[in-house]
Amino acid sequence: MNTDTKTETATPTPARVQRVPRVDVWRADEGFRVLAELPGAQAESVKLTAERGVLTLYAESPRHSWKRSFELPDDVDADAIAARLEKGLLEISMPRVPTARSRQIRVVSA
Amino acid sequence: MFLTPWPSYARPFPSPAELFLRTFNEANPRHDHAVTATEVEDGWELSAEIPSCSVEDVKIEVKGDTVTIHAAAKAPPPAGWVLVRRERPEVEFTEHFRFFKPIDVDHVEAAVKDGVLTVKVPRLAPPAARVIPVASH
Repeated sequence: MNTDTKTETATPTPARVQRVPRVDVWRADEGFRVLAELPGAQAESVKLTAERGVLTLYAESPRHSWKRSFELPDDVDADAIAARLEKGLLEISMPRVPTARSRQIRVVSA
Repeated sequence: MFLTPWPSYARPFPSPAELFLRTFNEANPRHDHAVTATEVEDGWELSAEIPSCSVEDVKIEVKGDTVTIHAAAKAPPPAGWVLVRRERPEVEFTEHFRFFKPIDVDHVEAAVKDGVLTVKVPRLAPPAARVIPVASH
């Protein structure tokens, strides 16, 4: 270990390292599923906010903090968004509004 | 520093040393699991981020002065779902840590919690001084 490293460990460690969570996004007829990596985070420290068509994810662990915002597709039902955290992986399910599914509109002749 | 706790894309302006090391990582693109080694009071602590992994997906081997961590998780793609964006690398890696100071092989402990693997490698206490009897001829 050189001197530089020693000085580094002597200074108080920064509160938390800020990170952007990596995500996988899956799509199906019934909606979207977002899998976000939050290793070390616990469910109580995860905040998910859906506001004006933007979903914001914020989470903390003793060592890290994560933040990321997603623009919600128009047909996602913001009130029905649900999330669960398991083994450091947050699964956000975003169901589509049933009425937003494509619908054939009948045209009647006058 | 070889091992940093955040993925490479979070460092838009890498140092020349990092650029050099990236050439190695490109050969193994899966190598992005934030494996860190820290020296603590009674030894060393290795930690690896393995979100979605269970205890069964991890194998730790201690042989001589080397601790090997192997983790692999294969999640079958959910039926009927289409992947539209992929950022998460597959969890599959093997890391060897060689210690140049004696380690207490029998007391290496490992635990997985919230997607973080922690391996505690205690330092081996130096043996007590031994008095060597001098034989007379």
